[in-house]
Amino acid sequence: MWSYLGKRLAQLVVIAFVISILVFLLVHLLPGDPTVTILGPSDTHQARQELLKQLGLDKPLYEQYFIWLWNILQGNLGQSFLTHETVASAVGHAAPIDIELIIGSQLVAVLVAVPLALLAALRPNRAFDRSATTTTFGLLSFPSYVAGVLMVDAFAVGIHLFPASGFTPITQSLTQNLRGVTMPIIALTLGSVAIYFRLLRADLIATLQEDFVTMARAKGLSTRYILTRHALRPSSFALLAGAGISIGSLLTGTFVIEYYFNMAGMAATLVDAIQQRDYLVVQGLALIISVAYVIINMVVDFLLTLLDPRIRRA
Amino acid sequence: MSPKADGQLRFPDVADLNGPILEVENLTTHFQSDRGLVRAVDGVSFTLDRGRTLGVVGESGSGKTVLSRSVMGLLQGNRVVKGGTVRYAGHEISALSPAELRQVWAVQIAMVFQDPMTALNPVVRIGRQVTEGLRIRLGLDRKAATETAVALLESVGIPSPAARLRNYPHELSGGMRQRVMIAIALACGPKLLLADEPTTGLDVTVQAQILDLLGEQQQERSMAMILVTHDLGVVANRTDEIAVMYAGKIVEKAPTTELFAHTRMPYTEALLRSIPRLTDPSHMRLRAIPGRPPDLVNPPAGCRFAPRCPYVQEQCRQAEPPLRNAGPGHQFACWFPVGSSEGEQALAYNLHHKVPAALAFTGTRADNALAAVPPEPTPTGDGEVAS
Repeated sequence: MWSYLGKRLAQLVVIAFVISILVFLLVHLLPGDPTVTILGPSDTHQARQELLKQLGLDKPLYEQYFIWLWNILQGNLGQSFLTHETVASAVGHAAPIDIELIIGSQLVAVLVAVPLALLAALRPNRAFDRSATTTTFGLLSFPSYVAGVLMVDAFAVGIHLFPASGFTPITQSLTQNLRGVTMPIIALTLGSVAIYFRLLRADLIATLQEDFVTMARAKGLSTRYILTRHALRPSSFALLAGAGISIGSLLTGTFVIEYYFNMAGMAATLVDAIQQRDYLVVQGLALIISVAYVIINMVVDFLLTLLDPRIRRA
Repeated sequence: MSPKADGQLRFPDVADLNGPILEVENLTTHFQSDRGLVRAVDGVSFTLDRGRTLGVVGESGSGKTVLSRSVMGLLQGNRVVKGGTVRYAGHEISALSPAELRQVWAVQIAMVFQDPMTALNPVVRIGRQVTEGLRIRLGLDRKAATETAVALLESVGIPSPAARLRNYPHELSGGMRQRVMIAIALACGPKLLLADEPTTGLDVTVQAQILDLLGEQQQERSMAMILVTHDLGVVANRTDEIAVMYAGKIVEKAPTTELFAHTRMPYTEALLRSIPRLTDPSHMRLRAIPGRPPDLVNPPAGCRFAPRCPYVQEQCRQAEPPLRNAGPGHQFACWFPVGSSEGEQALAYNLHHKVPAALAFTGTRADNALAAVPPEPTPTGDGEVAS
């Protein structure tokens, strides 16, 4: 167990190093000049050169990279040259929004999808299964931002049940926070419900054909017990892998919702920074998001070994 | 068995039982498929007395697995078409609802499945797979269930049983897994055990151990048992009676010694001949039965074994032979039975006319048939005249 974790941690360090190079190169290959953003298009050539020198952008690329890396290793991700807010502080404001939206929406999605899939798989191609499958297919083709617009129209503009926009940190007010995130979480949940339902339903139907399910029936166990204690776990491998992919893609996939509900999460902050050529913020956020993506998938791998004892020693 | 709460089925103590523990009458199990109705079991009748063993023998696709699952009532769903009756200890269990059947399973009738690799849940520890029946069906608490499970595993010959409870199925060998499955089947003290090819996936030495174990447990618990297998060798010394199945029907049924001594059905004879013997010369070719079992959607008219039978005559292709008596407890379905003069004539006629199924039937039996009976034009069986 510990050697497994150690190995994965060592892998993570290597992967993070490679990611840092790629992120740095990508940002510096972006067209556009940060000095134009800062000084405006009309300033003189000499002023630009001075600013470049001040920002350290006149140095060779590899030198810039190592300065950046050295700073990161010391815990300094740099700061925005526009607002002078440190990247760490920007992340501190933005990350809680994403964590809440992603965990909230995926948790709700699993809690809705699992019982639906259990009921549907019990009698495949019958009325409940057909309607659930059709409904989730509809949800899948229903983008989260359309759901967001419709919900704002109905619940914020119409009956003032939820605020139309803005994010209140949990530390300030729990109720205000929950009211604020309810609609964006529902908007993000819909598509995930569809994916989780379909992954689990298909595997459950296959599992229920297995001999060990017949054997469990021959023990005189109830259908409910067989579904939850025998069939669910061996049917959840694809569901878990799908959850990893889904959560990973939501790290940046939340940005339309963030914009629409005016919540400056990681994705919205990153897109803003890219537009403003705020290159240190871009590098910092992109690095953190990429590493988070890798960590999520490693956690999924680890959970898979817990779920399936057969791959534990592989 | 003590009386249970209301809504529970009550079965008499097997010791007090008058009459057979199991009576199967005209049992049919058909499956709806895209190609039509698959007649997997097509009118099977037999009885089994308490403590006795019935062997059900047939090749793959003969319907023997479907038969054992139908007897138990395990086959459910809207594609299964059921007919006939199954009475267990006097109760017509074929008429029970799924919820009522659950009360019968494991406690009254239990099943040992064919492949212990797929019949044990790969992600559930052995411990829970053995104890869950004890806890849920017999109401034992965790401690009592665990103690019982250890005793069960010990009784089926599993070393250090307490430690095995924490293992997953893939951590055990095939033989050990089959022992675990037998322990699970025996857990709730069934009075009737259905063993569906319990040794198919195992080494020959392990096969014998498992069969001996089943026999011992049966003796100790005075259980009745149905041993389903494709191997006549497996059932030869371990059953009181044998039913031979072909294409969903019983074609011959007899007390075990009688069946081997006075085989009447050509299919049974062919099965017997396909077993290699120690007295055979080494590297002798196995006498396989040519052809394949018939399509159960469109079974052939007449006798279903006719297309592969060395004795086949025109009559066999047109009229299906009924089950006839041949001595006490011995029934068979054939127009030209083995060992009868009609049968010998039919075989000799086919050998003369180079019928492929008969030519495949070589060896001393065929030579004797040719020598003993002069070929006659188109023999008839059972006094009836074939065209």
